[in-house]
Amino acid sequence: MSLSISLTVNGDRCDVDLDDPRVTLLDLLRERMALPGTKKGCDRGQCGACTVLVNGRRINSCLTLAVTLNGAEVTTIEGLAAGEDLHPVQTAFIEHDGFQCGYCTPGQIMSAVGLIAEGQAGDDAERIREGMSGNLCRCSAYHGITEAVQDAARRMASADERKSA
Amino acid sequence: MPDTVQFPMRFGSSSGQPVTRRDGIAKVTGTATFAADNAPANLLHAVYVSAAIARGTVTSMDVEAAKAHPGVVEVYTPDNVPPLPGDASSKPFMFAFRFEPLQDNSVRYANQPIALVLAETLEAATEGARLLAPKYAAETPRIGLDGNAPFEIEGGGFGLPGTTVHGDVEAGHAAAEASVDLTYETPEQYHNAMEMHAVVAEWDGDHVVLDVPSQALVMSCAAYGYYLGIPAENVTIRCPYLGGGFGSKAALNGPTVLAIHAARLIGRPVKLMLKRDQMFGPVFHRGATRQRVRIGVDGDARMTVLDHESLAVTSSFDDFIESAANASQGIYSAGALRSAHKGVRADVGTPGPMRAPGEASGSAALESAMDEMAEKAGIDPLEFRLRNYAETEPGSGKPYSSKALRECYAQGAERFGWSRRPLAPRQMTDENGMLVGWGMGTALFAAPMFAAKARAVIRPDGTGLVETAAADMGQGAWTVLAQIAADSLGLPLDMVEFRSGASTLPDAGVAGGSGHTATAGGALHAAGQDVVARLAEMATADPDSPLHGAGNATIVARDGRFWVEGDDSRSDGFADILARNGGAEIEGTGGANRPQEAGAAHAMYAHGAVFAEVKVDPDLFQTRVTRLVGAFAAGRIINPKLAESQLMGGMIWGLSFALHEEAKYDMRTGRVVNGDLAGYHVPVNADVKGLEVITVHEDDPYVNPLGIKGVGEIGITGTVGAIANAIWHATGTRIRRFPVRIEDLLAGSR
Amino acid sequence: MYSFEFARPGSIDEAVKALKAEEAQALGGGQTLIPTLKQRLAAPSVLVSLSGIAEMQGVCVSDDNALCVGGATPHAVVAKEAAKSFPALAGMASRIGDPAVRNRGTVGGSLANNDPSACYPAAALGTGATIKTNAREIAADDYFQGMFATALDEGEIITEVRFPIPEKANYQKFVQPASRFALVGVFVAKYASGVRVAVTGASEDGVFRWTEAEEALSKDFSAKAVEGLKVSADGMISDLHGPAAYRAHLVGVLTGRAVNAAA
Repeated sequence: MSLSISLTVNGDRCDVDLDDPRVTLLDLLRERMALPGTKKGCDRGQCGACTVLVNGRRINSCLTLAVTLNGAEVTTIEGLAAGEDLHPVQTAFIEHDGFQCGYCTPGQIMSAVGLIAEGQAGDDAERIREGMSGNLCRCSAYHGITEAVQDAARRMASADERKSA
Repeated sequence: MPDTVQFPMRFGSSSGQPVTRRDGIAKVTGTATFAADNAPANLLHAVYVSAAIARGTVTSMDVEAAKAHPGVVEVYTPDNVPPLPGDASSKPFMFAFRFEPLQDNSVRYANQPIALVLAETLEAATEGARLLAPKYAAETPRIGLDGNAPFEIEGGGFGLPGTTVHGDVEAGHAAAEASVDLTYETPEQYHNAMEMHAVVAEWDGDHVVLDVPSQALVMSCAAYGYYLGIPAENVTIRCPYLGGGFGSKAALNGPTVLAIHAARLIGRPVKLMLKRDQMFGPVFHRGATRQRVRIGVDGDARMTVLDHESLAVTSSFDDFIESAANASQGIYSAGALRSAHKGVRADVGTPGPMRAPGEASGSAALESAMDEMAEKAGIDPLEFRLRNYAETEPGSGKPYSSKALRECYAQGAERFGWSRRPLAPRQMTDENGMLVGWGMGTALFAAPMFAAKARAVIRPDGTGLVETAAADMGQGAWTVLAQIAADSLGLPLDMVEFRSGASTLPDAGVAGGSGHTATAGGALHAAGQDVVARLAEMATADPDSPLHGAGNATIVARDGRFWVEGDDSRSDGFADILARNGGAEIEGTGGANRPQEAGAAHAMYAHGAVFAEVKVDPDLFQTRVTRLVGAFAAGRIINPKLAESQLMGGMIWGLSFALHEEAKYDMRTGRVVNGDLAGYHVPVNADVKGLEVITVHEDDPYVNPLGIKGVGEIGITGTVGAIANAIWHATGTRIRRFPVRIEDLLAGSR
Repeated sequence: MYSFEFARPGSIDEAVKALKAEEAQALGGGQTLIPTLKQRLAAPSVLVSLSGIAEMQGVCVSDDNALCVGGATPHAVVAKEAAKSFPALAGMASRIGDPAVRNRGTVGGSLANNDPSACYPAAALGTGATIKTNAREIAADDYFQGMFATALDEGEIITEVRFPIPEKANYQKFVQPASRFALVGVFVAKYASGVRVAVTGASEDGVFRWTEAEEALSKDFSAKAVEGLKVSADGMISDLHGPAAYRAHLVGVLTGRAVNAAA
């Protein structure tokens, strides 16, 4: 069975011919599109390592069949920075040491970008902790992750204010 | 020791600075390459079939169905796998564990590999493995601490802790005016690094290149070479990053070797990544323990005896006994000390070292028992520990190479506010009616050092290059080792290139035992000193150099130049010296190992004190750790930012041990019933708040030339007991089975 | 995963047609179904995705004061859209699973699956919701038929759920720490006609109404009214996350807390 879908990945329009309906978005990215930045940690939606944005919202790419994404806009960790310029969340993760081994980091960062876009948590530490709790970090860099998200949320909010002023 | 260079302690400009990770940009942009991110051309995907029983035999598999599935290329079962050249049941080297290379149909534990499927796509390999639908003749599995008869440990060695006795234990018991005799249990725990074990193997004749997470790159080449029947130098390991290790990636495991073997048989590159549920079996874990701790004190609350016994589960076919009772060695002054171990064999995968092996489980029991003894003696738990403070190592009488534990107690207690703690339990509540409790524990971890080598080069442009095959599993080797190297070269950090994470580089030893920074850092420092000394010699012998005739002893390297000490008018740049002397780069080498005399004369440990606050819901008995303050003295801290992250990570592992982690077995089938990340609980972000780390200054002239102890594991020790003790202080209930369960607290309240 | 055909209908009618195929299976957000397929616990021949059906999306308030939620509406949308009109339901939706799950998982999927630990069944039963399908309307009291069992027929899909908006309501759940599923969840809703109390996560028969508490609360809507009441541990779920006695204990405590927090 051949299934054709057309989707946008990190701003690039891609036409994908899938030979198999079972391919998840995660495996599509990693094994068929040479975008291995998104990580597999459980393949069951239990760890968040595979978090990407679909149409601006964070989702577990391991629980999403690629065939369901016709017309979707996907953003992965590889598409977050603008060339050399890191996204504020990426910068904040480095500055606050929001990771150790780095394996869950792409998922943490995409989840943080999604969280900030949702606009529910602001820079409230307790709400950030809750909102980031779908992303496991076995190294347990949680302290730095929370600080990084707080910091990035503040920076992005003040940048927005400057823009609208 | 000819390859060891002694060098004076020095404090350069990079070490001690909280610089951000040098691999930070790679990790936040998704360009850091982990093993399974590699995809050589013509790649096949491997998926193995896990045994669904824990003991018995495989009677049949539907190989035809699997082979008929589109995309499946080959199915390996015991019927068609040629033997590995090296014997997988022998233990020919240190850290060798027995494994199953598909040579017979027996099953020794659940999730053991029983077949391997190769296919053109991951989806086809996954489906092919499912189609094999194995049938079994199952036998009743032996599971848990009571699943088999205990056995005595003879001999000792790696994974086989014996019995250690200091002083007259019976006399110590007899002299006690008050005592406790308590039994604790700790469960099986699984490492569950976020990155599952994985390998990409590509053969070229009898050479193989492996992308595989490894905590010991050079050592592992020899081990793979042994099993694959090729010389160590024919094995190349590339491992720039590990997605967490925690001990499980220090030794080889069966599935990985099998995938490499399959790649050779099929003649194409093969990628294998374990599935999360397969992490519960063939890739090690922390064995369960049952520990009896007996403490006796005299009328002044001074310990007459500390007597610690431990029973631990190992597999039916290999030995790794959690050395839990050894946690009572080296920590408190007692009239007599005994640590004794026994094992019990069960139908589980072989346990192995897991972050703070022995110490984590042992400290959980010991620090809980210390709290109970303090309660019985009617004194503050911190005062009880101070009263039994070991000025020299108990038993051996050796002086400590350094020990700022008293300062850890003082600074941690001050920050936490410990002096306001009421002695009796159930005295504190918060504004929401939550029961509040405070507890503490002592942290201790040995400070080992291994052998390593390194190479250092100063290039014609004056920049530096250093090399050693270190492993960065998150602790920060890429950054911290470069900081050490920069100082040894007298160069700013950004002028030093650091090559690491490949087995083709000089051996950096194993990233384990909290000894990697001391070990690999020591070698890099020695190599840097060596090349700097050679370059200095070149300069002082050069008539055109301002330093001519100054003599090596009086010049120092700083910012890429040599200076005559105390005379800022005389200096010469590294690049200038090389340019005048033929223009070629200059190379130095170095090695490191523990100075033997210092090692024989001193006891070497990192120390700490952990203080915990918990809040317990009086109706639901849900427990939340609301504050955790750890003060640690671990020698010289190269990078405070990264050291703090390591210590916090360790403390959260302690929290996890105390409240979350536990593999549960189905006693009938021997399978782990919560073998995934939904059932096997580890802390999430919302579980962690109020974390504080204090690093206490400590100069250690003996532990190694750089004065470094480790920070990777000590954070777990002390923390588990501190939390359990805080729960008692909040509720009045003592729970002696970890993790502390809400239903046990509920039962305790009735 | 077994292999399957894939269909992406654009309307309810097309979806119903596609589901007539033998062994066809509807796919909502896939947050339960995809893991189930990966474990080969289901073997559909055709997977019919409901996420492209516009008429099954969205949240509104009806003339008779019910919150109407399209069957394919993700939890995150309900959390946002219902925040003013039905805060207790929005609060429940905002705490299902984790954020990534809430962006994909749907009300129809949750109710069709009827996991004994899911949150939505408590809200549906606790409000006496009406489950609208392509064929009929089913009252919540008739809909839930035990763990993973519902009144849905083969090929029947939930197109909309109508939750009558109460005077006061609250949902309390004790989360299973790793998965954030409800170890026990209690939905309390006060209507002019009386109080409804629905409990999820606790019983081996799936979501149930705690009638003793309903009677007591209908007379006196206060935590005090349920203080002495206890549910029996018989028939409660006992698993590695918590034994039956603890779950029974949780039901009592959480009901009281829900009453106190009801708004």
